[in-house]
Amino acid sequence: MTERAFPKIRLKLALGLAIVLAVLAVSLAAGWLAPFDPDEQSLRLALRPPIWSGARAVAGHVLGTDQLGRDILSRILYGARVSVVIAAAVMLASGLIGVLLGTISGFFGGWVDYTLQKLVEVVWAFPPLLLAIAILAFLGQGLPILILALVSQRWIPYCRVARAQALSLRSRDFVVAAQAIGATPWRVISRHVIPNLLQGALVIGTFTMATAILSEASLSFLGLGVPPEIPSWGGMLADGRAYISTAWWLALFPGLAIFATVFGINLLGDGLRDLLDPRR
Amino acid sequence: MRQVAFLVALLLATAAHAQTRVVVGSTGYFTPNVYAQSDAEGYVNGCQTYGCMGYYDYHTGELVPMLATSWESTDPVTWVFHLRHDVTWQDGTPVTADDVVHSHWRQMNDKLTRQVSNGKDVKTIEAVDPHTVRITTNEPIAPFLFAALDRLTIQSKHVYDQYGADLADREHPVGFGPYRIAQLVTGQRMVLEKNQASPFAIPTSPDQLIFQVMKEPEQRVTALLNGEIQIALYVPPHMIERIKASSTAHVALGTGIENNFLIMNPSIKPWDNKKLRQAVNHAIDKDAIIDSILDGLADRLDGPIGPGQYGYDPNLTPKYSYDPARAKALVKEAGFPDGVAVELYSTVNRYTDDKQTSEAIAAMLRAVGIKATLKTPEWAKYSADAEAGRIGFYYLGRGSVIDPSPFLSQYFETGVTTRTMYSNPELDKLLVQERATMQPEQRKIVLGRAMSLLNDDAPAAFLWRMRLIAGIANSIDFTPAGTVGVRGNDITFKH
Amino acid sequence: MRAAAISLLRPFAGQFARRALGVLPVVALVALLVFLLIHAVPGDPAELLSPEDATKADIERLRVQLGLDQSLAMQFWLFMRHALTGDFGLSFKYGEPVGGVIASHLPATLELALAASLIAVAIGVPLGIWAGSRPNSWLDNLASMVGFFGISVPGFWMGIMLILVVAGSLHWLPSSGRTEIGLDARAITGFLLLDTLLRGDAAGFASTLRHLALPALTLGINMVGIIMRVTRSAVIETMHEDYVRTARATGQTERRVLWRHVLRNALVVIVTVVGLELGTLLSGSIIVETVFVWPGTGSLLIEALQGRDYPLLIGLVMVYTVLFVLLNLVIDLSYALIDPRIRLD
Repeated sequence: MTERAFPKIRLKLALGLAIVLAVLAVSLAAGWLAPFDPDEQSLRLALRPPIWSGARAVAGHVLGTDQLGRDILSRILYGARVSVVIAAAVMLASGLIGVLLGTISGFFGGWVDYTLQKLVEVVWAFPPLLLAIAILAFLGQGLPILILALVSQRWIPYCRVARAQALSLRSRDFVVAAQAIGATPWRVISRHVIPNLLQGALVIGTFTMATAILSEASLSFLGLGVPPEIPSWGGMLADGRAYISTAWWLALFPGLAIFATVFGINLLGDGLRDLLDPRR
Repeated sequence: MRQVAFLVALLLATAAHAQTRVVVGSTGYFTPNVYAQSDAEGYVNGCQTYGCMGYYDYHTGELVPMLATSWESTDPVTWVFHLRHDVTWQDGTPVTADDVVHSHWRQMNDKLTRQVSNGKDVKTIEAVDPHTVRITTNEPIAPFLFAALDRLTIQSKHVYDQYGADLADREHPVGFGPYRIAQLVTGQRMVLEKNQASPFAIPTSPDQLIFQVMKEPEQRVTALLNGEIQIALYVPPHMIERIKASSTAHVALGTGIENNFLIMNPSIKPWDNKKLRQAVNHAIDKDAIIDSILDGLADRLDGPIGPGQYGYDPNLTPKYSYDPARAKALVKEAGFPDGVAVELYSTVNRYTDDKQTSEAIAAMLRAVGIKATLKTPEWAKYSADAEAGRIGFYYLGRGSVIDPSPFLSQYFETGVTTRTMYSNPELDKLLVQERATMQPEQRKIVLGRAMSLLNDDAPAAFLWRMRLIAGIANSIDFTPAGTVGVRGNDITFKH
Repeated sequence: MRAAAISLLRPFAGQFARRALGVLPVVALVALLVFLLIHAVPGDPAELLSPEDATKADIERLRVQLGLDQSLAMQFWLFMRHALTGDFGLSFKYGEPVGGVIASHLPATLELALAASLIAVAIGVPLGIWAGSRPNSWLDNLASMVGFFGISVPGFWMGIMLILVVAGSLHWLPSSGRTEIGLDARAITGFLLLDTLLRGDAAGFASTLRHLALPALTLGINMVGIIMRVTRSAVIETMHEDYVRTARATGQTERRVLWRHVLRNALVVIVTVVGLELGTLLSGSIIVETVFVWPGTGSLLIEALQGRDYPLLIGLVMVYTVLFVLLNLVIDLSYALIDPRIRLD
């Protein structure tokens, strides 16, 4: 890493962190920030444009209203909650499963490794959306099920990295030494292997969060996202698509919210990688 | 296939001199085997290519003769059809009663048939002579003619005998209708060419009629405005402004396309409670939803059917007005002083603006103490659950209600319905009586009684009847009717 | 020269055949899983296919006709027995052989995925080299931002916005479909760009290109970011390698060093990523195909899934799986071709 690069990495980290924290703050404070109840309908005020565009706009509805006269700004503020929950839950759950299975696979080797790697191969061979759609169709709608559907394939990158690292760590001196003095495999894994893995997992984690938010939007787009009762960016985008040529603001703003959030997460992840990777 | 390709090549070669062409942005799909399809568009296309004995004219509400010049019912279970003598297949062979018998056989026995329900009432069918067909039914069925005429595509027996089903459909689509199939790409497009030799071809219709599958409404409207297509069917209400603003196309409204209603399945609590069901009826401001979400392009329903449908009576009682106070009182009377929590199931993008309207309905119900949570499962699961009577409160649409008889039986007759699990011996009696009544005026009176009973007992809240909205290029005249099918003969060019 | 090349390739052919055979169990397992999965998922094909006025008896009759009344084990046995002879059955909805239905949709998806990769490589690789050869310069920062944009933008949302602006307001490009309706649509290869060329149909070729532009850009945009960033890091990493330093020290021009030495090494990484992403594109195109109403396997998959068209669905998943797995195999093998130091194990 050159000396000059330092401020840039810090800038990336700062900007990324700022965006992520802002989204987090919005999701927590949506109740105070939102000018309207996100579910309050007013059919007479349906499909009104943002306040700066034209005579049909209604005062107070800054980003306009949707097809049922609900305030778009308020729904976007509340929608941040779903995105935050999904991103965090998918990252934690897939990280946990992936790192655990990957470590076991790499550390024990043999038939354990073979079986787990075949599983990885088969799950990974499914077209990504298909597995998620099948899970949602089978188990029904709901936030936890959606998270499960997203985790179903997202644990694999963790698993791969963890396995590779565990494989190389297995022969390292300190692990061999620990085994030599009679430490149980679990102890070796939890004390020596996993801590060494966390760095790699952190970087994948930010990527997973970004993908989870984008996937939620994709599934909502196919009508399989979170239940309609919960305002979500993906759901708003899906609803707005039908009105794209007549009321562009329905699809534009939730899309921008998704973009900004994912952009922030990616900046943060890249900044972290630069910081943690001594080679650059 | 080679013949088809040759035909297309020939077609393109002759396209130089002024051929008139109309392209339809279609929501349907096309398969070579007409009996493997059971949507309204399939029947219309089967009829205008291969042919049929007659068809239902959605504009006039009459059955129009085609191959059959006339028909009569000699007793309640016997129908006799007299066929034209001057009709021949594209290969020159005369069309006879044997072809009709063969077509019924294929409709019932083809290994891919999806049309068994159309012919299942037929007990016997025979060719009395080359131009007379006699059909007997298992029991008296007043609306039988519709199935026999509109829903039976007639194909030639000799082509089938010579080539077998697959080859006949794919490479020898020989018909006597006003159009012939020039190209068919499964699930994507169908090109029809006018069959000049057909007695049913008329000079004013387009020489070429292309159906291009365009699943998205946005796509159809954009293509229409770009001049790529001339007819865009199934335009959602909120898009008509775009068409109205254009100088090249206009909006045409057809009669109703589907009746939308909410089912309240009495076998699932709390819907066993009649007062609660009535409260739902009073709680929904149908006019407000029609005016705002549906842009005024639907007709309010005050009963199972609306204007233009057989047996409609504007004075049907009881009627439910929008009356939230009355609804609130009914919820209390029903035994829910603190309101009641229910789940409302809605489809998404299956019926016109279904999700939007359901969300609005849920809010209106919440306002009177019926705390509705909206559920939107995937359609495959939704329809399986609805069909098996596993969900209590859900939004549905029913198209092709011309004669309400099959609809009422399917949804409300004991032993037939699973969708509502409704059972009312009094209604059952009326429905049996209605089917056996051949005299139209008397039949309408019985139907009226049945529908009045349904209104009062309210196993459903009948909402509105969507208009069929189409975008039409200004170069042609075409008015859609209560089906998404397009008959070339209904299209004329403006000069 | 040619003989040398062939002898160089011979071991790879053997490798390829051996590993391709090793893939078969995975594909069979996927087929079994999909089969079980779709039968476990609620929804009744017979009920979905029936017209809305069908009675219970009608639906039951159709269920028998489709063979769904038989036991699950029997259905799977029949399916596998036919599948081994290459017969995947008839699509429930279309009543046509599954192979034919897929074959008529596959070229559209492949054409789209290839065009998207081409766009992504054409933008991403030069941008990455540019940025990587001048790390931390202004150009690098700018290129990085383009990369971040590409990675972060929801592809289908961008597609919708492109339709709104480029197709809707500006009328520059068409918003949907593969070519103009009414143009000669006979398929030769199914790849319209190729077909129109073979036919010498200039208008058709132009129209196909214009129709391809927006969906390909939409599908490729995420890949631009990934390729740009991967190229950049690869270039930066190789710049520090000893042999690059040596080459520099021997007085070779900067450009020559970049193209001869740096790029050759970066190529391994780029090929991997393009290959991996091409696999993602194949299934990722599901949504983009829906947005642009592209008649490919993606929209077919959604349709088959929603309609519970079991034979078509299994056929599609198997095609996807085979393509995906083969693609990975080809990538693995191409490493060794690009960089002889990498040995296959």
